[in-house]
Amino acid sequence: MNLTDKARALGFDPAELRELLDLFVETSLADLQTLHTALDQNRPELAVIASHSIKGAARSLGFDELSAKLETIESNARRNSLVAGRELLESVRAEIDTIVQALKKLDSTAPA
Amino acid sequence: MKKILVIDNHPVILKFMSGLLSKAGYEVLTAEDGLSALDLLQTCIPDVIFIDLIMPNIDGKKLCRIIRRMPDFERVRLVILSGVALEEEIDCAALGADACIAKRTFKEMEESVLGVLESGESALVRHAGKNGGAMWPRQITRELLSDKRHLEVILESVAEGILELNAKGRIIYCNSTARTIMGLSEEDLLGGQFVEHFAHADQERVTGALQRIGAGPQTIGEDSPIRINEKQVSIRFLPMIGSVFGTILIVSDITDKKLMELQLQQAQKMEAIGLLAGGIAHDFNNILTAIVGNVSLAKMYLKKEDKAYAKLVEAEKSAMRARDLTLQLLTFSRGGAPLKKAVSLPEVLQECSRNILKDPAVKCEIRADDNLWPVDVDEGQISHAIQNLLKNSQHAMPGGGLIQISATNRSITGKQELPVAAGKYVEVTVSDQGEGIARENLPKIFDPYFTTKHKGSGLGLTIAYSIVKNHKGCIRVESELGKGTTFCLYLPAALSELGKAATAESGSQGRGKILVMDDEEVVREVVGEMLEVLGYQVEFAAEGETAIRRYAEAIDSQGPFDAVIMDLIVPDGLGGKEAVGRLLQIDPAAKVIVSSGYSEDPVMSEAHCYGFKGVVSKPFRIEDLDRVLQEVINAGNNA
Repeated sequence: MNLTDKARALGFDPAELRELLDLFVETSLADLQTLHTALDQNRPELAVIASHSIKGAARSLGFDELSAKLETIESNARRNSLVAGRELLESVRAEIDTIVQALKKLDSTAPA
Repeated sequence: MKKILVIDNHPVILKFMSGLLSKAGYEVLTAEDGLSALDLLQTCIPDVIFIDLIMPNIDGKKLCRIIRRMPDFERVRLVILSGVALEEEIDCAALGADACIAKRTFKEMEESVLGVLESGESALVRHAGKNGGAMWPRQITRELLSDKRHLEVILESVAEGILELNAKGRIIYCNSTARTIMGLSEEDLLGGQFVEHFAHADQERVTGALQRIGAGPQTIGEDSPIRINEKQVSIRFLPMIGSVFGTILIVSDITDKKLMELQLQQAQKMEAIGLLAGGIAHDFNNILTAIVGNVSLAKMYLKKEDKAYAKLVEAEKSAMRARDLTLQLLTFSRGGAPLKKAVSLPEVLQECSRNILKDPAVKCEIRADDNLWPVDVDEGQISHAIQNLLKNSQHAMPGGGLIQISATNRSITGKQELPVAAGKYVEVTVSDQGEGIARENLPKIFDPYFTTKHKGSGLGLTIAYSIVKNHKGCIRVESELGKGTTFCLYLPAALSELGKAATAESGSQGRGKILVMDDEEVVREVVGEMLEVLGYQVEFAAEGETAIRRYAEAIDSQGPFDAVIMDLIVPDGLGGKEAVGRLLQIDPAAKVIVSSGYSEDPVMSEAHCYGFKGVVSKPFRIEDLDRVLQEVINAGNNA
């Protein structure tokens, strides 16, 4: 993932995008934790709220694939189904990790 | 510098908007939900407000409407910033918003937001990106909105008030029933502390329930209702299931239920009093029969000039008052069936006014239609009802004044708002010039034990109401504080001719043989002597079986009875109600008179249906006995 290109596509300078992504990662990790709780306790209503939250921000930031996965979780949860949730959650976490890695890379390449 | 408020529950959106607007030279304020926004708006008035639609703690649509009703915010521009705008046409005008921007990628949103701010026009601006469909999951949003609407329809239709409180006890949702129960608009309720809507004593109970909510659902007010907006309610507190702390409240208006419970208790109390009174009345009337009978006999043995004669007249009057007292108690407590006949009201009204209005400072005017219809009533009961109204009027004017009584013919059609069947009625009004009855007391004045007087029993108007209702009439009251009170009675007009006046011819001479059946020896003795004085031959029976046997024997021996007087109820034997049927099988022309202290028993009011030819209520005077015997024996002979 090239954050410089993404920043350009969204009309931000890299520092601005960085700030937004930090916040996105922080919020999304908290929502992800809530999603795990929802699955553990079989509470679809909690899953709807948390997946909806990550999904909206992901779309605004142009993470379409991530958004699509959360769309599936939300859609299933609205039908009271959390069956496919756990696998998808792993995949969501992987996507967020990719963003985290990209941010780290940005740090390492930034001028000291 | 223009001030802009952005309200959205996602921190990334808030961060993006803050950065964008600050860079463009605006002062930016942010709020994460509707409730926080309302708090913020108490101290500042922004130039533009961006509002997300789907948010916790008061959503965007409600927030728009609330802000638009705040006078200081008329000039503030409201801009909706929501993903929902991609899926449906937002009616900005209905929400009071000036523009609407659909949430897409940040780049697209930037253009739209700045475009709206720069245009400065209050026109609907709908900014949709090229790839809207891909950027927003249309199907899910539709489902989300559809579910939300279903929920709203359900919540707006339920009979209970539903409210949602946030963790700090502030109202963030209320359905229409909640608004009706609490008597306030959504704008007045949302954002306010729920507990502050209650009186001090109830506040503690509400706060207590909120504090205990951690232990599970709580209910208050079921036994001892909570009062709000002149209603009695019970409240169920349900802890919110989800990631946020809060409480769902279910408020039930139990005013009518409590009223019914009260009425039921009242009815049960009346039933108990009735049973007690009925039992006492039976024994009491037997005792009175002996007293009244002996007194009336003693009178006959004396000359009117005798000193003792006047004393006996007084004793007889007192005994008859004791009888009336028993009757009154029975009338209201068991709804005694009235012994109806056609009665002319003007005489009754005159008599009532003479009996009650003794204070010279209280004047009374009686007006009656010249062709006033007779009424079909129990004269004693109706007199009692009218006397109670007169007493009430008199007490309302301690310094004296004028009581006006009128009697007018009225034809009631079904269309009039009176709880009576259509037909001919006589309307009796009793008006005073007293202090009047407070509006809040009007619905209670006929309740048992309700009184505003220091010495009132609280039963007078209840008895009047009960009597009139038992006559299939109705009673209503009109009152104005400081001007006076008017009671209107509607009594059914009599279809038959006026009842013949029951004037006993003293010293009239009866002829014939009478069988007296009564379980009380003292009653048999006094009635026997009264009958002998009246010129009849008398035989006795202590209960029904003996009476039937004696009657049959008399027929066989060619010396039949001319009439039989039977006690209605015999505790350890066959009573009059059962015996009369068997007697009529032996002799269908038997003239049986029913006598009872249970004057409220239906047999007494519908004696003819059971086969009796006459009725005499205990206690009775010699002239009462004479009259009924002459009526019964003569009627048979004339037939």
